[in-house]
Amino acid sequence: MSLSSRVAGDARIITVSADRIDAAMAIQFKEDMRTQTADSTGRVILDLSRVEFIDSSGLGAIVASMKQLDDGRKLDLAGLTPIVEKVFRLTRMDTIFNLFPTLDAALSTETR
Amino acid sequence: MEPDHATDRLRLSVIATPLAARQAVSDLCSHVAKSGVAPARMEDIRIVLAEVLNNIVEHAYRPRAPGRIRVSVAATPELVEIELSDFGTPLPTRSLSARTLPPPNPDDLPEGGFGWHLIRTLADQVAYERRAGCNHLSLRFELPEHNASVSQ
Repeated sequence: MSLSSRVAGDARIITVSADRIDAAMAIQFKEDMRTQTADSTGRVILDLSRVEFIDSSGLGAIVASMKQLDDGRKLDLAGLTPIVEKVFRLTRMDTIFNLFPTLDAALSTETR
Repeated sequence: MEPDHATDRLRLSVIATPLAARQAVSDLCSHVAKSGVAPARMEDIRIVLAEVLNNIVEHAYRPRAPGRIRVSVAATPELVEIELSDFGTPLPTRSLSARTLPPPNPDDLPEGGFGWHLIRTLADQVAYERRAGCNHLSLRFELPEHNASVSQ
């Protein structure tokens, strides 16, 4: 399991402890996200600050993780390292997710 | 997986699995980084290497019958050249045609199809040829920022 999670107010914070989300782990990541988000409602914040690399399969797994959430739940992303931010920007997925530079910035911002 | 010191070109023969591709990306990037490529450009090279190798793993070969990928990289301070070949199915030509990625539709988000967009966007040249039942892909990264920093 490369994910750990905790609750902060109305939000569930999921921290990725792996240093990458790539094709070799994308399917497991999506399943782990399903497990981590199953027993809660409301906003999910994914802390990516330890993730130093993502490829298009990893990006697809994050998109799939959002789509498998119940209607109305939001997946926000925090702590993007430069290469992760670059992949989101080049694929225009930065227009779909709320991106925050740090977890604190995400927690101090209400999103819809 | 023997480095070719004579030409300072790293040549690898990689079994087409996700884990072997991951290791190859790491080894190839370590080799390129020795030539002093700027960190931002190293990111581009790492993304593209991961995408081209993953494409062969996922699409050229069948998952239960992974073949071999031959990949080599030559890096100088001005230029990084990457050559890949495999005996999998031919690359669909639409993969190579440049096109703008449409804005994602929030109601129907794609979970794939980003790989070739990233490759075409980040590499300066991409050339593909199908020859004698073999896929040959060549990628070039020009490194003008190095020249700029040297001239100052």
